[in-house]
Amino acid sequence: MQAIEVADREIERRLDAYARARLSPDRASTARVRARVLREARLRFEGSPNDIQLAPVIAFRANARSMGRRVAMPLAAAGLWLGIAVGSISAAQAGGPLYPTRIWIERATLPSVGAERANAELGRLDARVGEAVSAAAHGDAGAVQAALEAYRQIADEMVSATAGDANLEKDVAAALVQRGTILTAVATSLAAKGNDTAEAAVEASIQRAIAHTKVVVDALGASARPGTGGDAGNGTGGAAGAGSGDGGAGKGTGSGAGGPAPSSRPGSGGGGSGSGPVATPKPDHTPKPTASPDPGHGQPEHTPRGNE
Amino acid sequence: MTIDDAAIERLVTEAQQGDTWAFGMIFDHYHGPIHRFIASRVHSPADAEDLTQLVFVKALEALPRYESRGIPFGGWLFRLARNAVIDHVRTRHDHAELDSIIGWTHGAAGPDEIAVVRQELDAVGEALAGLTDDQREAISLRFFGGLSAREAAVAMGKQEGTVRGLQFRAIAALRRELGIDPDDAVAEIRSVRRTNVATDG
Repeated sequence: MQAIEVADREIERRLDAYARARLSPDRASTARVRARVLREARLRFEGSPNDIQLAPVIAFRANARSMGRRVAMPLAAAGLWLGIAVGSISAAQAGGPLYPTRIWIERATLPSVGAERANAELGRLDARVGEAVSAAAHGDAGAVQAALEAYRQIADEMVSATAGDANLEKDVAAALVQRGTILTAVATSLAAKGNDTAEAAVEASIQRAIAHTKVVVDALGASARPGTGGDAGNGTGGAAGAGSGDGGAGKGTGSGAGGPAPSSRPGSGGGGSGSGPVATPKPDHTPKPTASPDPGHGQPEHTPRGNE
Repeated sequence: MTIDDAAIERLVTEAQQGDTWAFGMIFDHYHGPIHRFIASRVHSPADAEDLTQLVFVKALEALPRYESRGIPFGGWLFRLARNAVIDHVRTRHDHAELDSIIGWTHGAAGPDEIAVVRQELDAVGEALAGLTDDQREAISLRFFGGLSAREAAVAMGKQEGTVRGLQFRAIAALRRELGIDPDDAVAEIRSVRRTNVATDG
């Protein structure tokens, strides 16, 4: 009996090693899936109809095949319109000529004040992070730059939108820390890949966005700090954990962050009437990375997905 | 991070009320196990990533209809994952499962792969491929997905006893295939103990 138990433990050890080496998701994959799924969740739980219209369609192979058969004829008839629509959508994607217009329309249709606006802005931040991560996976430096430039603008807008509301500022700071974690995970995975010129440009863009996020979070922290009186639940936590394969522990520093008591949401415990908002300091302008192709390395620009 | 069942149920309730943060915590808790389970059953890392995402999006859609009623949430979620894998394999008209288990390589070699002898991993993959579908699924859910026998039974739509039986037979088969003789294993442990005692003395 003891012999069988010992042998079973050996089997368990080997299966565990096999799972860790061959089956576990890498950090970039975790960050990608997390960004997309939570964006979908946000759209369902909090999103405005406008967000849903602008969201890129998540297509799944299984559905596409059976759908394709059923709608083949109507699809052919509508081909012209589809072409126009596809052209418009691709032009409105990150790095496309209509992308700034799309960002402008998003901003113009935001709720005017308060938590509603902050939630909508968070949705937009997630969308930008999702676009940046997706573009980074394809090595599209231009798209990453465009998405992260929009990300920086939105972060700045959030600061001014939440000015004077200490609780909202804390929530926004926690949310920004979370996005920063995702971006850091992406940057780390890119850094591990090598020094391909396109990847270096992508990484530089991400590093700038991370630095900007830190500046904004610091500014929010500075404006929310006075008057909080050292509240124990004052953590910058949340459901971060992006990039960690197992469990993804929360990144909270306060009590209860990421712990087994989900009702005590990290980062939401603080109160305090902060003094007036501090003006967001503008980050130093980082010089654009030169995208000079290296003639010695004929590496393809497109990085196959899933092998990161 | 370990979250107990009661905490999971609370998170599920909060997510059902539209709390994105709670759903994020659920994602963080289950993403790794779900991905490992799917990756053990499909053709490529890209498919595993797509299907994992699909499972969580489906969970979002189905969450309002989820009622605990003694069914563990993990079992419910893995049932979605299992159905997604079955649909995927059926739609692709291939039987990627066997090939994938034998030949899957996870991109570039990582630190874990360096630490563990590659041959040993290949042997495990081949041994898994020799199991029946049900046995392999039971092993994937219990060891790669980290489910309890009860949760695995819910995911597979079988009795708990049946799953335990499948697991027992699968482990016996793996033991045979990998050449792990129970008596040898005990002898090895005794010899290590003796060496340690001699060193300490």
